Amino acid sequence: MFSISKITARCLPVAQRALSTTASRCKISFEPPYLDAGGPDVPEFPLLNVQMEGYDFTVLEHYGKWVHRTALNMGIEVEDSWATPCEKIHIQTFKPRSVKVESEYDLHVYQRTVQLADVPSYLAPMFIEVAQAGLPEGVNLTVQEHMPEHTEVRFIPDLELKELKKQLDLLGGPSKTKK
Amino acid sequence: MQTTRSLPRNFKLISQLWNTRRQSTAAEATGKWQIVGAACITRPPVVCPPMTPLEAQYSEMLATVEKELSLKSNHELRHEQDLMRVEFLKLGDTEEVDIEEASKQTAVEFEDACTEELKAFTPAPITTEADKKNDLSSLNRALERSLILVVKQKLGSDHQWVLPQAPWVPGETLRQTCERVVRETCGTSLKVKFLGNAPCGYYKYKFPKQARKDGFIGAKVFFYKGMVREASGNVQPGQDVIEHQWLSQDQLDERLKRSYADSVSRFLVSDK
Repeated sequence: MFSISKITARCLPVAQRALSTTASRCKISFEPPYLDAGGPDVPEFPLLNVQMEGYDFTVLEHYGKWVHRTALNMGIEVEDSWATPCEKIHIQTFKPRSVKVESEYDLHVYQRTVQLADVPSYLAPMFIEVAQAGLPEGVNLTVQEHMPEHTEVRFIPDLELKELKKQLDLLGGPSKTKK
Repeated sequence: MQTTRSLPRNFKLISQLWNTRRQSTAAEATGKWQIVGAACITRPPVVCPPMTPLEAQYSEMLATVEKELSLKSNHELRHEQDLMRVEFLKLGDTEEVDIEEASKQTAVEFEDACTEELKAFTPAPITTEADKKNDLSSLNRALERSLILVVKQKLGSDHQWVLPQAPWVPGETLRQTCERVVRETCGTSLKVKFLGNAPCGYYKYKFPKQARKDGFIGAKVFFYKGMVREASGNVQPGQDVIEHQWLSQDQLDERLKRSYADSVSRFLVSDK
């Protein structure tokens, strides 16, 4: 007949021996080398936006392509690259003390963005330096972390929908009864 | 059973421990190294360098090819219409001529007004006053090259031409050391932007035997790169600094010591 006390009596010395060997092993702290084989945990920038602005379209486009290629060459993953619509500026200079227009200018500020993903923190300053070294005249370079506003800017507003919503508001808002 | 199997493994561990303990005592016998943070403050080029003869020739060729292949612009079409209008007026064909259009400014007049306005505009000179005087301590010189700040700093009992440096103090990060270096050697008016938290270069040197204090046999210098713009502010030399100069990369090799210049040139991006 099995009794619990007999089982424990048999298992106890074995358990004690096993525990004693593990305890002695813990005194000598040794970690297998494969745990550190991948290197230390490097902090990364999840998304970086490299924005380029300029008045000259061809120069800006070529620079944008060069930045894209440079990032790929440096081993940085390029998530996306896009263009935002240009900002059109109309400038009028007036003759002194009059309303007569002396000259008119039409300027367009074009923009390109290259989005980089998972940039290691040791590589980001190097990339920025290289991008700055190749910066042509007349181009402004900005490097920012990605914000929701940067995606919002890309959407083209639906003017028709806005107009209809305005009309609805004028009529007194949407109907409150449930249907 | 378990003990006999683990015996050879334990023996390996013990021998490993013994070896590491021996190595650490060897390092302590040689001495401690002082950690020093140094700031490599760079002003990137302001203006593009002029084109080489080959580049100028090629760009000219590309421009002519582009012009030949392009369509006529609005300005050129307007000029052609003006000429046609003049012809019609000569022949007396007033029906086909739009008199309102004729009274407006012609394309030629518009072009002349534009060229006059361009002549009236003088761009800023590429060779500044500091270039003419060869004033090496001004930031507003050598606009086509990138400039690096080098100071004559007191290290121990001697003055040396180095990148501004200061020893690391426990309780701060190396980057904070470099920011302190900038404040102490260049004053608070110079706005430097450090790009990363990791150093970009390294240089090791031993102190001369008389200058070895606090058990330090030498120093290990870690360089951090910082950017400055031409309108960032002036350098106000601090306590240990006698002189400061903004040098381009080839001038650096002449000014700094050979081994130091080698370590520095390893992390500089060439601007040519």
